[in-house]
Amino acid sequence: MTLYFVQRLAAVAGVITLMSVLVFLATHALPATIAEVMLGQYATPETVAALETKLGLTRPLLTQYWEWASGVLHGDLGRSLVMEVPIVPVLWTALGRSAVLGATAMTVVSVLGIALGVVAAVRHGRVIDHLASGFTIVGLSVPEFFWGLLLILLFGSYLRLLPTSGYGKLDKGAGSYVAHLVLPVATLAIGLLAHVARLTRSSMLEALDTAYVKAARARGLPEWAVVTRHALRNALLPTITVLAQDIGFLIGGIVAVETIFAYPGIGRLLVYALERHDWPLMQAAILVLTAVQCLANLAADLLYALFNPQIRYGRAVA
Amino acid sequence: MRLPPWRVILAGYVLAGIVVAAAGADWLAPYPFDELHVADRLHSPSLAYLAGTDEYRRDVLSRTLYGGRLSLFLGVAATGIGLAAGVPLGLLAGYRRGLLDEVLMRALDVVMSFPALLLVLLIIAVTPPGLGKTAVAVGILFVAPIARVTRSVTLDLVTREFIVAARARGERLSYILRRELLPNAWPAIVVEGSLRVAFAILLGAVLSFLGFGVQPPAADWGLMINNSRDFVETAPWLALAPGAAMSLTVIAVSLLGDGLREYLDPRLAYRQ
Amino acid sequence: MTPLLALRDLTVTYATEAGRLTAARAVSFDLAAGEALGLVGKSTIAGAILDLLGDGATVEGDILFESVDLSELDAKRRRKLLGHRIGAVFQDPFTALDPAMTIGRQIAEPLVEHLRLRPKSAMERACELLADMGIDQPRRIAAAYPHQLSGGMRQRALIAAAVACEPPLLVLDEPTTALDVTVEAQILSLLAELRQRKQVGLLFISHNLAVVRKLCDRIAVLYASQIVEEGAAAEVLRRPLHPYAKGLIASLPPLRPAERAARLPSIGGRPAGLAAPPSGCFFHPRCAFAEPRCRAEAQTLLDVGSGHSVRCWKYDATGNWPSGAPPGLTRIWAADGTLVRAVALRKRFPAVRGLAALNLDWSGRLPRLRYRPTYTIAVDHISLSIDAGETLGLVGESGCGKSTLGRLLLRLIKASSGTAEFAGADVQRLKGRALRRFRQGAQIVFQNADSSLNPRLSVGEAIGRPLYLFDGGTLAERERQVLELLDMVQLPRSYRRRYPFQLSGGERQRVAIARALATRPRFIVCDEPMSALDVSVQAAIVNLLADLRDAFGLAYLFISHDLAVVAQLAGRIAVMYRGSICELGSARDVLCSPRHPYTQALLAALPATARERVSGCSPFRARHSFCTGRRPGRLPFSGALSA
Repeated sequence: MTLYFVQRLAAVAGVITLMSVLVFLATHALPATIAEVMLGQYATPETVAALETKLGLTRPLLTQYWEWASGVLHGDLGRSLVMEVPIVPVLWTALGRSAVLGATAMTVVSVLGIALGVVAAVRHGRVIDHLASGFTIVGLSVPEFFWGLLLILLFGSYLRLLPTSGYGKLDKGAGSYVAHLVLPVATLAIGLLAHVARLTRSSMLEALDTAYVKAARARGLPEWAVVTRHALRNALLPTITVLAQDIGFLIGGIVAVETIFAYPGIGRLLVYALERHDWPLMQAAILVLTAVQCLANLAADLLYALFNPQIRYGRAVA
Repeated sequence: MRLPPWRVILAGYVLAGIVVAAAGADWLAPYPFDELHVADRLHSPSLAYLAGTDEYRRDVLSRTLYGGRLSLFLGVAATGIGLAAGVPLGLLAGYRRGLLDEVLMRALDVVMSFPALLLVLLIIAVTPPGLGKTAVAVGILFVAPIARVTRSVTLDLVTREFIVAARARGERLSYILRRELLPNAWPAIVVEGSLRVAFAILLGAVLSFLGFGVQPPAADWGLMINNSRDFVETAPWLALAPGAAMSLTVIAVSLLGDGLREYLDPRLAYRQ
Repeated sequence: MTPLLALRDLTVTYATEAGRLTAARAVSFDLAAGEALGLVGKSTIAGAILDLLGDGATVEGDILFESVDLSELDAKRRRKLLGHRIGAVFQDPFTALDPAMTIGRQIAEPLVEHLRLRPKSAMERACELLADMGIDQPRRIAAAYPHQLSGGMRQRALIAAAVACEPPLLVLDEPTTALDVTVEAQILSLLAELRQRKQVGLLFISHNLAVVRKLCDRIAVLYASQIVEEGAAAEVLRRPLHPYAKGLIASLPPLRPAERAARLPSIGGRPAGLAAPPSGCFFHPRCAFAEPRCRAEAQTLLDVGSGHSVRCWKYDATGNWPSGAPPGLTRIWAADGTLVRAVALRKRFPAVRGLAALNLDWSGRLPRLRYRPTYTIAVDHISLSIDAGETLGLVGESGCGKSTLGRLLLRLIKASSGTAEFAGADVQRLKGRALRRFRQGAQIVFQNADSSLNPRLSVGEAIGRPLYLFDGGTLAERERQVLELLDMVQLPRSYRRRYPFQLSGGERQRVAIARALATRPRFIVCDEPMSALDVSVQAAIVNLLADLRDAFGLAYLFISHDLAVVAQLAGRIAVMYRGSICELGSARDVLCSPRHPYTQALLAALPATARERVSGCSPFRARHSFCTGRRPGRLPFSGALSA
């Protein structure tokens, strides 16, 4: 087990390093260079060249990468070109806010999604199964930003129940904080919910069809025990794997959702950086988000290994 | 051959309808998509403008119809690129195993560790925006999941004995891949492909929505929805037509893919 | 005395795309307490009793258990009986256990549920049960997960779970089919002993007549959803009355070395389709004694006295099932020089490698990183030879490496060391034309008829491809040859347009054989070609292989776990255990006077019926080699088997 953990950790480290290289290369292959952006309307070939030399942008790529990378390892992600402040504090706050959004959405999705999937599988072929399938298809197909707009229309304009943008600071009261979270979380959750529910449903259907479930029924165990103790435990394994993939969707979703609802998280920060050509900020944001996904994948792998006895207890006993 | 489930047929018809509408936009649309109707700004839906007009005085319905072209093109082109590169890679890796397989799997792992949106954004940020570039970027992104699915189907098939029998006849690699493996693998590939088309359309829409995809004044669903944000309360119809069109398209493609999976999966081999 | 289990006109139908399919038709029998009844046929009956058939099945008729009609009970009350009063053991021990739960818990579950034991006492009882099943260290096994145990162990655990609540009836659905012969013997002894000790009634469903004979007092033979014969096991097996039963028993290969010209009696045709069974007697299209009356009249079960009943009006007028037709050719090919040879052939597969094989070595002053991959040795320095026209049988249990050896000889797997030769040339080194000639001369027929044909190619295309590759010629010539090949394997010419999914298992196997023959090979590796076939069809395929061998002077490497089938075709037999050949000699020697303990154990494990037929053994000992393992003198196999 520990060997497995070490292996996976090594793999994650490798992937993040590779990613950092890719991101670095991409930003340094840009048409509008950093120097041009900084100088804005004062950019002429001479001034650009001068600034580049001053900033050390003419040095070999490898050196620049090394400098940046060692900076990252020391906790320094550089300075934002546009805002002209160190990136780390800004990124950190934004990340925190996005984390709240993401974590809440994931929790809702996990609990509701698995429950919905199980119910649909157990009542396979009946009305609730078809309803669930219908909801799943719609939830997966309609893009998040459209859901977001619809929700804004419904709850913001017509019902006037909830705030449709921004962020409620905690010191202004927990009510405002929560209220500002509801719509973004709901929008994020819908697509993911559909995905998790559908996946759980199909794993459950498969599990309910296995020989060991038949054997358990033949032993006269009550249906609820068969479903929860036997089928569900085995069906959850593939779900864990996919939940990890969903982090990727979640991150994509966060970018879109924060844009719609003007929620000041890391997604919005990234879009801002892209629009304003703030390359250091963009570089840092992408690196952080990718690292988050890698770590989430790692966590999912470990959970999977923990729950799957075939990986956890390898060797044969008899 | 069994009749496909009704969902597949329905989805097929709907999709066909959308494709026809998009392709025939030149004839079906009441107005050209960028024509400005001087008098009627933000007109709500009426007989003259079935879906209303937008803030630049353009007819929403026409723009929606034309928008279909861009989205469908993106979906098909990106998936096409993904299939063209991903399927041969997957087949080869799954059949040959060994070093090629190991390298491919590591590479796939890395690519799939990237959140999809970020990867595409990265590629796009580096190059000037345009539909072609977006299609290529998304296509490259798709090579990984398509190769992975192809590889796992191939791994499954390779254990079947007719492949070993082919090797015992001394068949060449290209023959085995082309005539023994691929015909038996394509159902899974088709299903994955259709799901990829849906995903491409969505991804393209998000990109346009964020402002990194197609540029104005082109008619694109994501772009239209983005523009509509400012007028969400005063002119909700701006978002509804393109949103509904996109949702319908993606739903139809997803249903098609789903239905195909059910239809093609049951042991196409033996049904006795 | 009311019977423990009584079925009255049980009829099970399924609604399928092909129409209504009747899987069981008016089946009736009684099972008294403590009695063992063997059912030779499909598992549908077990499914009906245990309520496992699913919604697509309609069950009619009565299932009376202790005088209560199970089919009338609501789900909840039926559930109370299952597991508590009726135990069930299924076919595949590899999938019948929940992979995510320990063995002990799975055995304890019914105890907690039905007997209301506390979890702790239930676990204690589970350990006791495991010990009862002949497992030492029951606590260790109880704490293990299914994937950590061997097949035999898993089956014992399943039986323990089934008898946990001491039910009076045990339903066993092919419990030993997936197990090796030696393990099967142990499980059967266990079941016999259980029955003795606890007076449990057994309903034993199996296709293996010999196994049923070993364990059961009475037998009921089913064909195409109907009972065709029923009676005391010894009586039915010794003197069967229904033609199908006669054919089945006659077609069992006897465990004695066969004369080269001998052919097994066999049942022709394919098993009756259940959706549209033949008119009149269901068996008449395949029956050797059929008359027009058989086609016209539906047959009923006739009582013949002393509990024996038969569904055939002609039962007292039919003789023995006709013996196998003598071959058309009387030419017997003499062994003609060595064709295939293996010299110290070795193949190992990596078991642990890559990052997992890195270990920290603490033995020195500084810890060092060592790379220590481990391997499993599938084929361990094997040497053997096969002459042209000769058949060498290769016998062993699952996992012993016999398939690997076959594939090594055909260069389908790369050897780790050693050489494989064909017609004097090292197979691993062949290139170009010589390689093509080798491919043409050496072919393979597989075990699994399902996956040995490309589902997308028609029969004609599949057989035609090797012709195209090796023979060339015009399209018309190739088509003619395809038809000839179909004739050779006794398939109708119209089959060339059919696709695999339209053929039965036996027919697919014939197509596979035709495909192998298309290249005009001199040597064919038959890798367990009978395993997946219906019992009634196996003998016909064995005969076909023998006919082809005689017609073309083919050499075979005939791989199987079934000694009796091997004896039918092979002149010499090699017995393989864990990668080494532990006995190699003429068929007569190996069967009649085996030297190696493993061979002896294999023979002893075969059920009595087969062994009884071993006869005509003379103490002839030529060409018998013993223990051709890597380290001569050290037995690769010793001691008692544990499984």
